[in-house]
Amino acid sequence: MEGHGAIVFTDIVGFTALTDAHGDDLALALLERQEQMVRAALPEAARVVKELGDGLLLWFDDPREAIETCLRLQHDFDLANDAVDESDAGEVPLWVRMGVHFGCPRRRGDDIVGRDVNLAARIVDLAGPGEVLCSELTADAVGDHSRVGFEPLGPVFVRGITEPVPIVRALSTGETGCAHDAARPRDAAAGRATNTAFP
Amino acid sequence: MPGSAPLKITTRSGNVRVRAEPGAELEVVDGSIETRDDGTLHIRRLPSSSVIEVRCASGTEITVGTVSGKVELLGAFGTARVATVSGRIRIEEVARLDLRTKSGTIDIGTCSDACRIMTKSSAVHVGRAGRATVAAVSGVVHLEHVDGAEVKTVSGKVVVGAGGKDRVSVHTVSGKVEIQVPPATKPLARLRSVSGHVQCDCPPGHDVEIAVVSVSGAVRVSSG
Repeated sequence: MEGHGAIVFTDIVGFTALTDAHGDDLALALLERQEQMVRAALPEAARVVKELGDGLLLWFDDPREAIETCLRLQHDFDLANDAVDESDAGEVPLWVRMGVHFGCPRRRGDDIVGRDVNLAARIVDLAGPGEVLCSELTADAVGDHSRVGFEPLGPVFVRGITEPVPIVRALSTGETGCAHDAARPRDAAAGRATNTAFP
Repeated sequence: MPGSAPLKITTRSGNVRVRAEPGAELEVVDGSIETRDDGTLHIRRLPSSSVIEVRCASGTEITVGTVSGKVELLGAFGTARVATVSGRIRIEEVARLDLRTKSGTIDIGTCSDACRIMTKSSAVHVGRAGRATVAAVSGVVHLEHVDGAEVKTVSGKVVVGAGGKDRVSVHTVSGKVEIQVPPATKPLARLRSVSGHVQCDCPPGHDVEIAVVSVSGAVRVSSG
């Protein structure tokens, strides 16, 4: 057993369509850009478990660090994409989505497997570019946090899991959510912040 | 419109039809109801039925989780959250919306506040919205009249009727982009396409910011 921790899947949005339209070299460049940025952002108590087709499987000992890192990474991806927008090189933006689940997977060599890993993989399927979605269990494990809020998205059916799973969207505190009135900032005293809460 | 207690409807398959009417009492056909500690009402489809039909008060907050089957929200709702995989989604009127699906058509009448839609290949149509955030890989995104918008697509065509109140931002890789602003609007247009044709028919100004970035899609901003 790996013990309890946060399982994170990242996924490049539209990777298949981008590869089809722009070729394998661009695909390779996107994968490398994603991996470089993710590895650079990982805290000590986290690791890349494995590379997937167009994403990464990550493990964090601490769910708070997982959410903080994911939100910071999305901010970094935004900044990098802004630079791409200003470039004439014909580069394409790197849109990444992330799914997080707090659980206790089984260890198989360096790999992790089990229901909790499967669930995290399904959660990322629901996310859009720039989003960090997680199970409600993850939000509960994070607890009060001055810079992170969670917006409930409701019980969601995911493939391979019988019962609907409550999913939330992680936000830097003050970031405008769709249902901002229902968001759960874990520390009401945190006041207004923006996407840049994790510079 | 305060509505009734928040509703959460879950069914793996089968259609969901919810009708919101002013002052209506909650009524559920072919579904079971359970009241949770937080006051929300959880409704699930009866195994014997292929559809859940619900009637509730206007302004009700609603969450629908399903895999396949049609989802129809008729009348005026408060915050709505819909997560599904496929199947047509039709929503007449909501205050705020978060909608996630992979495929199937999406038709939103009016969303007065924030409208967030995440899809892979759905055709998206929004009649009116406050601020719309839409992400799609493929599939046409048509926002008829929005105060502001942020749209990201890989290859789908994007058509936006901008109300001229708030910033409109569109990022696409290869999809064609057409944005229409109100007559006589002088937008601050920041339009870029590496290899696609870029055209702005409006006089430059600072009335509203229109930002479009595309790798190879054609971009056109016009008024009308």
